[in-house]
Amino acid sequence: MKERNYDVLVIGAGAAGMASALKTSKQGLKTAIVDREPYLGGILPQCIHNGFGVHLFKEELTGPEFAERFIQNVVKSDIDIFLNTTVTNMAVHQPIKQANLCSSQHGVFQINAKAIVLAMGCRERNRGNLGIPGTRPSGIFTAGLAQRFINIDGYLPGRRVVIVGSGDIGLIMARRLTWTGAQVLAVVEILPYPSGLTRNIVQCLNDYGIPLFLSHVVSKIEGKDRVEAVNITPLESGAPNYSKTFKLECDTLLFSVGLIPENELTQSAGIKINPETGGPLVDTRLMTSAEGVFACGNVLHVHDLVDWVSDEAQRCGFELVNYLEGKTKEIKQGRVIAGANLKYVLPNRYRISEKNRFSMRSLIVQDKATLLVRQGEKVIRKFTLRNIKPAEMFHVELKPEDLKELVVNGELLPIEFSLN
Amino acid sequence: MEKEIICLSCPNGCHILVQEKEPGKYQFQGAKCERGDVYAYEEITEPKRVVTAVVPTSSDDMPYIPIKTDKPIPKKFIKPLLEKLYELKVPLPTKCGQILIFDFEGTGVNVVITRTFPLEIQH
Repeated sequence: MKERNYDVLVIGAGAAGMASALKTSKQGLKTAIVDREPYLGGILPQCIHNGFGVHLFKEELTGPEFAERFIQNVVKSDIDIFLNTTVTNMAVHQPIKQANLCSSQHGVFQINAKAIVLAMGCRERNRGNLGIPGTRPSGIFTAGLAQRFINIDGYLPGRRVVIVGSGDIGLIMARRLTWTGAQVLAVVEILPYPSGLTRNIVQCLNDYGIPLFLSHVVSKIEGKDRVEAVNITPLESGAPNYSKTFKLECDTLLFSVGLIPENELTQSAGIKINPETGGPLVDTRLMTSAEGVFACGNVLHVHDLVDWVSDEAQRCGFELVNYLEGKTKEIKQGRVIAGANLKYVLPNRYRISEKNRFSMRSLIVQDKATLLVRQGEKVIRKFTLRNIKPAEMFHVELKPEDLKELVVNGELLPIEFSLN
Repeated sequence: MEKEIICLSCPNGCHILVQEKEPGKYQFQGAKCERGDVYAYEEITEPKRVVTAVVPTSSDDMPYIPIKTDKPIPKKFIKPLLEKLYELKVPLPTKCGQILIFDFEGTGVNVVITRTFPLEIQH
């Protein structure tokens, strides 16, 4: 089998993969980037709407434009690009890691690398994850697949559409379908509040008078060959009240019910997964349980803004460079715990040698909230936060001086974040 | 008059309280940046939106190419703009930032292409 040797192998050429590869390549590390699609950019080229890049570039870009800022740099750099290429497995618990790959251009081949960046992104939850009863006709898609059909391939998935779930992709698709001449009858959300960004509720639903049914579920799908109707049932005190079920006649049903980090490859390589995020457990260097294997972007935890993906991926590339240069091989770290009202805090370790940036998600909706950082009973830092909701990730930083007191007998004690 | 507007200028989605103190005079509260007040004023007087879509090309290699309006366009022009776009055929190659329609219907809004195709890989 043909073998190729690199310093760094980046798996996935979306926002995360490109940003981390550019960082490592710029520092002189010989870098390869692989992607199973025939183009660079990951999911971005199909996200033709705007709203990307506000934090990173201080301007509002569309998905393809945001991707192109990175793509143009990648194609000009020394990074070796392998498109239409799939990684089938990897051996990572050794100093030189091995990945087996295949592509129509190169056949089956092997890449040896000193470090690997996992940047495979995530995929959509689908009907099977929800277990909706009824027949199995055609016309049922995930929202992202419908987005690909319309924006890349130019097919309209249907004319009368019901969308399940108020995630951002679903909301964006409600407007997109309306603009292509389809009729969006309803968005059905199981939770009592919308899952997507507020701006998308306004500009995608309210602008076009599309009703949003909160605390409702699709209780049945009807139709033999093609979807003909769906039954919608309100939830009352958490249970469906079937006496209030109503029917909407439609030919298409889209699911926008959340994303799952895509970690089959990670798990098969024996890397530990965090059940709260669905992504690998990482330390303060964004390094997984396998030494020299890093993770960033949606494969690590699902982000709501690509700006944060790029930011995290650049940090990941930076940490990787420091690691290969031997600067952070031995680093003192302590555990990080997600306490009250927090779904998760990432990374799962902190350090006192440098500042720490944490990403986290709330379990509650609150206009004004207080985030406490504790060690035992002692509160070491307090943050006041505004407009907290599960749909929007937020970040805080802890500086070495915030954390100094946490060393007891040379050990770093766990810190706990809690929100109220 | 008092109205709460959610700013669409960026994903922050600031909630802006608009109060009409006297006819035509507005006071704005709650925006994190100056763009919020501008947005809230426009939303009250003439709401505008950025339109994004895809237009067909003349090649099977890239059958559709994405476009956007380079600034928000008054809502009443959205439908005519979409109808115009679906009639077009874009010749390849395209360059990100290239103007496809200049000054649509006198609105001062241009339609620009947002994806370069084909891409030149230099090594």
